[in-house]
Amino acid sequence: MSRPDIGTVRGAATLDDESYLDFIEGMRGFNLSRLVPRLIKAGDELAGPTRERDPDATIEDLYRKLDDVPAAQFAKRMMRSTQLMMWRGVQLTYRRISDDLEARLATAETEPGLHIDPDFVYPDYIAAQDIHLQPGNYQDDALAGYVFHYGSKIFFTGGNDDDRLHNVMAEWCPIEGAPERIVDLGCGIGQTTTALKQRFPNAEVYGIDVAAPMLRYAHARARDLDIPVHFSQEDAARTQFASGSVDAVLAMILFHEVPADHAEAVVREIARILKPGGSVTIIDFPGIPESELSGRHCMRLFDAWYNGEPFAPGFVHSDFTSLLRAHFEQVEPDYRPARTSTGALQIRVCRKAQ
Amino acid sequence: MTPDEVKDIQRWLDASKGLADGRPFLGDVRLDALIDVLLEISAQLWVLKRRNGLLEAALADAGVLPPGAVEDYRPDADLKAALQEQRAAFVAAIFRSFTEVSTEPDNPGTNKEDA
Repeated sequence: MSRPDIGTVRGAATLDDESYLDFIEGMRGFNLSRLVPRLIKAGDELAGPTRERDPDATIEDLYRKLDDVPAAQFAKRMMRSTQLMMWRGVQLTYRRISDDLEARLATAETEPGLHIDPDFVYPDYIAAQDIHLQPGNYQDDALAGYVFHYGSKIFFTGGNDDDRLHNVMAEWCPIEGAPERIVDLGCGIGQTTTALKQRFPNAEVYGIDVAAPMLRYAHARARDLDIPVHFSQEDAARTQFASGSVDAVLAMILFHEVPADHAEAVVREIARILKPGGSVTIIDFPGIPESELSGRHCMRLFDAWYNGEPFAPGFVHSDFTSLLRAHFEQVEPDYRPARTSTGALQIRVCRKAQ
Repeated sequence: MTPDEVKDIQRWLDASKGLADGRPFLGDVRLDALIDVLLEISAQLWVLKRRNGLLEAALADAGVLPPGAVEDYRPDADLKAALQEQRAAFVAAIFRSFTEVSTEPDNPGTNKEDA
């Protein structure tokens, strides 16, 4: 019992489940295109008067003003409700076929390319949250990888039905020549890991993550795609790699998910493992000055407070580029690999001196 | 938000220095719950419309049912019982959020009975 796969996403258990999730995807598209812009507009319009009345006004003050704006109230309610419906729907449908899914993970685990550390201790910051409100987070649900993949398909309103997005990200990494070893830090379900391997078939490509269920899914998925990569359960701040042994590192939307002190430890680790001349590409949320009164800032904080992104404010408010400059000789803070927009993401590229 | 949601959010409130203090988005927990109901109804409506559309297409492709066959269909006892069970689950799914609002009175003293 199962519906056909949707692109590379495992199909829902039933047609009704698939349709329920299809509705949420449509609803999210409506929220993002019709409701959220009105919240942002309201925030932008209130910013000036707020600052005029109180030169010391904070973003929290502006955020509270939006509590009385009907358009913002609805945008927030709808965003949160659909996010919760999304996870509820995905978890429910995969529970119906959990025997099949768990059997696939178990079979894949007997095949090479996966290292799960039986003694791994999850950092406190992981245990303290459900990132994006995913119940059980990435580590407490055996099916978290499956759930995340279908959830992200909905989250990106169909943009993650296949690996196109991740293939583009992999193409964007300014890696030259013939790298021998590439590391994808915080790889999650390994979509960029396999994309990097496809771009560099002769390189050894590693996907590192803390969450075992995500890695198990990543591994099974890579085996199904017949793309030979390595997945390993490790903390990005303390990897197995020898100093100066890695040609290139990718960290895609990793840093806003970790506390500031951990972020610095990860940057230090990247600087350690890269070979001289090696590069790291960091794709993440763009910085927003803490003093900025704007609708986009309000939306970013809503996402942090109501959508399971507790460390995102600290990240976007920080001077992350300066942190990188403290560890790398060459930092390009706003790398533009394509003429087209990079969307809501900022790309930073650092190179280690030769 | 429901009390459980507030409790859940509280776990990371310190880390984010957030304003996620559990106040309803629409100023009243009842309105928030109604939006959830509306969303669930809309979802189920789409589920039904999508299935119907696919069903009609499949039947037409196969040429198995003449026009009016579904309209004139009379379910037997087993099917009626199954539909009743499905109806209960359907209602419970849609009205779930009504069962999750606080059982504690808010704004005590404002009800007419208290005056």
